[in-house]
Amino acid sequence: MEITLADTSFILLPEHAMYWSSESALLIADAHFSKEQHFRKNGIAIPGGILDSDLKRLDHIVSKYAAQEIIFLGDMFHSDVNEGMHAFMAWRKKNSNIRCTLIIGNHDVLDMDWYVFADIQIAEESQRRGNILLRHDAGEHADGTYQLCGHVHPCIRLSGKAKQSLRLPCFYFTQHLGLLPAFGGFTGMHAIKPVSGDVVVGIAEGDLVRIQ
Amino acid sequence: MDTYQRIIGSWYTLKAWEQYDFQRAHAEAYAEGYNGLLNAPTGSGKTYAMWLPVICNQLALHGNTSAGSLRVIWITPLRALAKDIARALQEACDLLGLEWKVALRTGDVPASVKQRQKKQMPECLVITPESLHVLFCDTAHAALFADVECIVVDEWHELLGSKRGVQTELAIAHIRSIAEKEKKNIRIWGISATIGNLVEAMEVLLGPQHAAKKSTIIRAEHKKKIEVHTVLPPSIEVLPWSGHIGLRLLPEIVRIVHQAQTTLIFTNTRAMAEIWYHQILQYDESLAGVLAMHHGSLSGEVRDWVEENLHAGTLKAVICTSSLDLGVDFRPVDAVIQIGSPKGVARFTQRAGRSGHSPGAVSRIWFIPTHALELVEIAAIKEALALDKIEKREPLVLCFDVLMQYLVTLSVGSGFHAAETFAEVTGTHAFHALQKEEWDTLLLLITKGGTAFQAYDDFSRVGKVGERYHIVNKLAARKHRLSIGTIVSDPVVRVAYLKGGTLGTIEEYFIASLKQGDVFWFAGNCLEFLMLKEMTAYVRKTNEQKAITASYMGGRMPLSSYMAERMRMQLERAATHTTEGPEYTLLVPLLDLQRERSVIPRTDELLVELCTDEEGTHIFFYPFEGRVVHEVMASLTAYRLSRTQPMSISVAMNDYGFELLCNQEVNLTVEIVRALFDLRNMENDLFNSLNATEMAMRKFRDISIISGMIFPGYPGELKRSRHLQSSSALLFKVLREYDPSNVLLRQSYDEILYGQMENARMRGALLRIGNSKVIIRYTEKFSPFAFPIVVDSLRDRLTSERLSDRIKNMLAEHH
Repeated sequence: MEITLADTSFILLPEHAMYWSSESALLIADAHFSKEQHFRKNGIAIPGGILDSDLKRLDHIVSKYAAQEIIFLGDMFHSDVNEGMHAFMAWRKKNSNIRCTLIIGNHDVLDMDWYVFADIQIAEESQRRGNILLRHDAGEHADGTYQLCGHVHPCIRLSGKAKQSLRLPCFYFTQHLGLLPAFGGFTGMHAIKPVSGDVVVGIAEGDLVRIQ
Repeated sequence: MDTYQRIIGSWYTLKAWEQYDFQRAHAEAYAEGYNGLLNAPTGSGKTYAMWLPVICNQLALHGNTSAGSLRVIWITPLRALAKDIARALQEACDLLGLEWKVALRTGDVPASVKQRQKKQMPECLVITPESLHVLFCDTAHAALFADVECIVVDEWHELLGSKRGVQTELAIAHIRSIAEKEKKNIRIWGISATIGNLVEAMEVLLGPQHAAKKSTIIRAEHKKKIEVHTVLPPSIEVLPWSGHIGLRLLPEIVRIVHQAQTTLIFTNTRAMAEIWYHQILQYDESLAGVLAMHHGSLSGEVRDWVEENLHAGTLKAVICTSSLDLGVDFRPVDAVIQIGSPKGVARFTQRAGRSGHSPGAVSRIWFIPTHALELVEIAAIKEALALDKIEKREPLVLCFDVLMQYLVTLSVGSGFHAAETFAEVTGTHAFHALQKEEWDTLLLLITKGGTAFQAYDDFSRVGKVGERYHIVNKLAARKHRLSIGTIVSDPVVRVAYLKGGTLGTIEEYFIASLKQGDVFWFAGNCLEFLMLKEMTAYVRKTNEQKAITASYMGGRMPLSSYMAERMRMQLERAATHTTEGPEYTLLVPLLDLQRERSVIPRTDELLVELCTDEEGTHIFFYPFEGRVVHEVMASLTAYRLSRTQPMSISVAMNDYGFELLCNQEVNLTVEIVRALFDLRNMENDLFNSLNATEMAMRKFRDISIISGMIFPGYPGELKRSRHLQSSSALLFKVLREYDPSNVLLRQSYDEILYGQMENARMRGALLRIGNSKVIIRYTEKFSPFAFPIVVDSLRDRLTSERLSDRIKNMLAEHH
């Protein structure tokens, strides 16, 4: 599914990511990599396999779109250095030809040295490319730009007859701001309240569904 | 023995009390080294009956000097009770000249006092199960318990059937094994009000092997007389629903209060207590200052004040919730009012027993119905009282979450030896059926973080050093100490005035629904919400009267199975006009309307009502089995119905019946209804139905907290520790996807299948329904039976439609 924001066109992916054709870049928000390892390190028995499956999904879309760059919109790693970094570094080595850029989010607390070691370019708060402003947490709107952000982990709540309701992770676009769904497999969701004119695209069992 | 009776006799002479037979019998049993259960109602002098033989034993064997080490552990379920109990125990020691010190050790006791206690233990500790487990976190705790001669568990009927009861069983097993290592004998005694399964209650307390040895049950022969009055309004709401609270009977309540010396007014929810407090004061201003309120959300100081004034007799009435169900006697109380159905015989008796404490006095209770069907419930209770029938408390088994918490507790303390602890744990009733594989799985879970092989891992919680398991993660140890316990409550925020002063706590989700300037009732005050800051809701008093009442969860007590059965019989008698009385005269309009719109089912009939409106097809079933059974039965039948055609169903229930609300048209035949309630394949379909609804996920909430997967926040928390926070719903999702055979996940299903639902009760119900005649009625409007179910907002959902179809339908309905 394609969408045009501030004269720039993007492809929405049901893998919880966006592809920016003109930049050959994937946009990923709130990956929270190695969150399971952080919990385990602190004695909470989260089952393994989440990071592996997240990286596999990433591999899949990288090769499908022949992406040359991945832009992480913050909260790339969940917390401090832990054993999950081995798995990530193994992935990084295999994909060393791909540029990685990280817009720092509130969870990104690793030492700068580490990002250098992992060959990840850092943008402290935001990065502007053409008319697009990339951030983690949405900031004030500046004329002539469109913000793309993460942080919220948006989902949309639908309701129907017989008091039915369900929640779907979603992309959410207002006039000047776009939110990406969280990428990580070990993340929660927060319901958004769209108004008319907003665009909401939900993700249901691997398919994109235009909600409004 | 003679010495015993002489000393005890002198006590009763001193107090000028009559010594009852059961008190004498218990003294004998204790002297002879028995373990057991002391069954006596509140206000019968059970505390002294228990305590005096302990003192005598000491005086007879060791003389009157202080012992210098801990001898008796007195476990009490409520912190609020502990203070009064300790006072009474100390007084008895002083009067009989035993130089013992009785001290409190609960969450309320300052850390400095606790430190001093560890250096010099008092001879008797009055303690909650949680605080006892916290003591096990001490590396040298075995030495603290080495001289313990007796463990008393007060109000055992309250602990039994809860995870705190399981915690108590584990604590007893542990202290007993410490005593056995010292080659010492230890006596275990429980004090319990009457319940339907006293023998089982004793077996659970002592553990199956020990109960078979030297054990006995001592029963107080004398029964306290209960006088039950039903206050009947001139007329009553025909359509019963939660919005009606019986305010019409306000003048009658005030009249009862004025006639009595002191009255306890019980409501079923805290919100209800707030409404009544406000209404009574508005109706009769002369009660200002002598009417108080007592419920679990109010601050400790407020509750202490109320309790002290109840003792002193300076209060005319107190509006309360289950927070005053237990506890020492308030002597001035001579009347009890129960507003709304108490839902069980045991609870009703317990509450009635809070009045009339002088010897030979009668307990007087007034019942205020809030809707018509409650008249049937009170009739059922009266009948049960006449027949001397009372509910059982079913003990819990195989609570892996509690066991996991306990194992970590031991590892934080002196560590544990796997084989020794396995023997200790399987000696309890709760874990007597624990399999070696389950045990090994739990050990793996706390040492390796699971069974699955982890490629990259630094899981750290408990490690094995030699043959012993010790905690290896200091942060985890610290957090564990702070989170010991099995009472899981909704997150709460403090309610305080801006200028200072705390009023109590209130559920966070309620505060979250307020906007600045909103007005609500709390602690008897009309408050304006100002702001929420750092877990405190700041408020100021206001005179604006248009307040919303704080809605507290909890207090939704299900009808007991015994009561459910009585209800069916009472209803049949009402329907066939074979019973009379003022209660039934009032019921006539409701029954007439039910007959007009549908039918009143007999005990050998299952009534099914169908009603279609813009919401979809409402299908009502009325098994009259109580909410607990209905919840699972609704899930089972919804699952089976959804297999007949793709549809989405939402489910609601109360004590009388349940509703399946379907978004598709449904053609029900008697055959289909029979198939829905078929006993065959029950377990399998049930399991699948639980997978499809959110019931298991809700159960998992408590389990995840008790087992330590979720850390509740604690004061002075580092910012980064927020990185360890997650919701139980998210954990549930992740476990289901990545470790579907997880033992804690399994527990959340088992708690519904075997614990909550009482498998036998479910089978019995299905069997009964299988033999019933099915009556299907299409109704134009909701019947009086259906109405209260429809308005219930707590719903579970289930679907057999494809997700894409559901989304398509939902989007189409909105456009």
